[in-house]
Amino acid sequence: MFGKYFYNESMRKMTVAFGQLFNSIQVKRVDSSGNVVQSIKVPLAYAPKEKFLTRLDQQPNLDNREFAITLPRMGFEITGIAYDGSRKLTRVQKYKTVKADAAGKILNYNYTPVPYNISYSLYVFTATAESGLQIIEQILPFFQPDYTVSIKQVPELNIVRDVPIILNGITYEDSYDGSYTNRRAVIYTLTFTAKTYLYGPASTQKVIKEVQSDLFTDTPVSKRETRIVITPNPTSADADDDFGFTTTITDFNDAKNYNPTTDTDE
Amino acid sequence: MAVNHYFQGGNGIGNTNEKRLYEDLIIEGLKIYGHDCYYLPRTLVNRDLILGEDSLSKFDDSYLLEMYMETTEGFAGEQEIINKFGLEIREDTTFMISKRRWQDQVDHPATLIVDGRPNEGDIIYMPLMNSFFEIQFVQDQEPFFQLGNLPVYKLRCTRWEYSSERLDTGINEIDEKETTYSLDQLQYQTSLESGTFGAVLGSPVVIGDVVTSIPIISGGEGYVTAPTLTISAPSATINATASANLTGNTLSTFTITNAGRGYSSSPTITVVYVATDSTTKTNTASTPVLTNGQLTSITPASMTDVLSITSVTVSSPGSAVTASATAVLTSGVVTSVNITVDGSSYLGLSPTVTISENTDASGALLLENDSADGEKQYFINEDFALQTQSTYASNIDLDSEAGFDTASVADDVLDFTERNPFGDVDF
Repeated sequence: MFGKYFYNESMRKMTVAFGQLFNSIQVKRVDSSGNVVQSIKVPLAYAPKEKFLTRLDQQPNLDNREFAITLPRMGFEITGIAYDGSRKLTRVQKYKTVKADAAGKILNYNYTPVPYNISYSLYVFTATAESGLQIIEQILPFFQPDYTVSIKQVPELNIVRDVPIILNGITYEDSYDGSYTNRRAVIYTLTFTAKTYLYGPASTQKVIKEVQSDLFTDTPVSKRETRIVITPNPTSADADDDFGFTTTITDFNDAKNYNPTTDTDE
Repeated sequence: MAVNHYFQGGNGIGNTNEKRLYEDLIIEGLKIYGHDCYYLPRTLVNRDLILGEDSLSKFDDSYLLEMYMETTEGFAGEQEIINKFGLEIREDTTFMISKRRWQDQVDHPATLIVDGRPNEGDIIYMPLMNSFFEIQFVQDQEPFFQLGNLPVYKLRCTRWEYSSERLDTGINEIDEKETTYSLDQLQYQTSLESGTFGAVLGSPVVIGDVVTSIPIISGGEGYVTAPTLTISAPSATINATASANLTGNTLSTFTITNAGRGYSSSPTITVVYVATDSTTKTNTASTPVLTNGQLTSITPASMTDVLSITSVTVSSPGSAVTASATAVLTSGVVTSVNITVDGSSYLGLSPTVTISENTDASGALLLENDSADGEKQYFINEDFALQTQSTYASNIDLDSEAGFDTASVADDVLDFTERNPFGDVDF
């Protein structure tokens, strides 16, 4: 039942979008005259990764052990995925759009997405408190407490959703106390919730060009008495054209009924 | 009760000579079993008195000193670990150094934050391991007053967490680590020079009435085809005029009433006169003398039958001739200028030469504003390597981290109507 393959990359895109927000944070260092003498673009990476790749990437040469780590740097990760019932919408609503390169003959459609909250944590590790404050101050004022990004979630359906990213809280650790031989680490942890939607598979359907309704006074005894047929106007119109409708209402008293198999009144 | 003075010569156990011997033996031992390490004193650049730190610390001195690593079976600490920030190497060790050696080699108030002892925060570079260690704590009381003195410092160190501090020790092996690991983008700023690629020529040299040469001030660069040279036009020519003088019936002299200008060849002097036999005759045998394109004198022809001079006509110098020249290239540089036409009527002028724009300057950026003299200005296309960030392999940037340009992916994903507000600064 669930075997229809699809992958909208919803959470991957969300992660790219989230990370991209923080990919240009700067730390500047000034001398006593106030001149900027260093400008550091703070490195950022998605934190969880293959352990072997980390070692091979960062220590390709085993003599590359000059430093413990280079600071400042930031990492982020997904920390949780939770259904958000408060944003639930009716499940049968369809989102339709004309399929590209199908000349208006075929529609893509998709059902209502499910609302999910994706939790992210952003970690900031600096050598000095000042660097940490610079980084944090470049982030916090934008979240009140949310910052909304528009994400192109399903390109084939042209679905662009505003996704609020809510800053839930900040924890700050400056482990300066204790023995002198313990390392001091200035680490900020910012927790966010991105309120996004996950879409199911997109399907295609042909364009309905004629709708016919037969009206009865009573069923099943009576025969159809009035027929309403709606067709696009012009009838050659495709789904991506500008068209109107022609409504044809016909009254019957011939005691016949429509046979959908033969497409005739019998 | 006082201590036994047979064994204690004053301050603690042992006498001064014994203590000295003991210290010498320790130094000898450190020299035998220790490693050569560089001691890098920290220089505070802009101490933050509120937060109590100095982000801009630099290290511009180094002192070679023997140090003994107390942890002989590897480092203490968690070694290599992976955490939220990638790979981190947590390795701790203890270096033992002689107090006297340190004081002799390093101790100086000008180089240390606090003189008289090793400073916490100073750096030790160990060439053997290609590693930097930061002194976390200076232990000066171990071993505890053996023989009544304290001959060594024990430097409790952890591997340095590098934060783009300046390393200018003069030891290339140390300083190059800054180049590799510093994230300071200002280090990779490149100043482009503005300039021109065109050759620059001096004013054409005029000798007499003609252009004889054009000096080269700079030959330019990158020419594929020789530039076109244009020399400014000379003044218009002037027809010379003269009158003839008679002595009896003989033409004796000419008086130059207008020397004219621009004669590149001898004009014809036409003398029309009434002869003694009352006929009108014409003589063109007088010889003009030209100097710098001007008529300076006329040597009269032999004419002894002149009754009266009707007219003296000097033929026209013709139109002035504009000089022209061509540039000669050697390896894309203008190396000489050949005068192909020396022109005429340049007497007393200071002609100029214009050189066509060098359109072969490929790869250079043409500046919007031309210079005042109309010469186009370029950003000179030098062969420079522009690096915007350290090449240190990982955790550098989400773009390189993801192995592709996430910024462009994000363009596909994100729908910013304006720019990314987060740190997307102009600097």
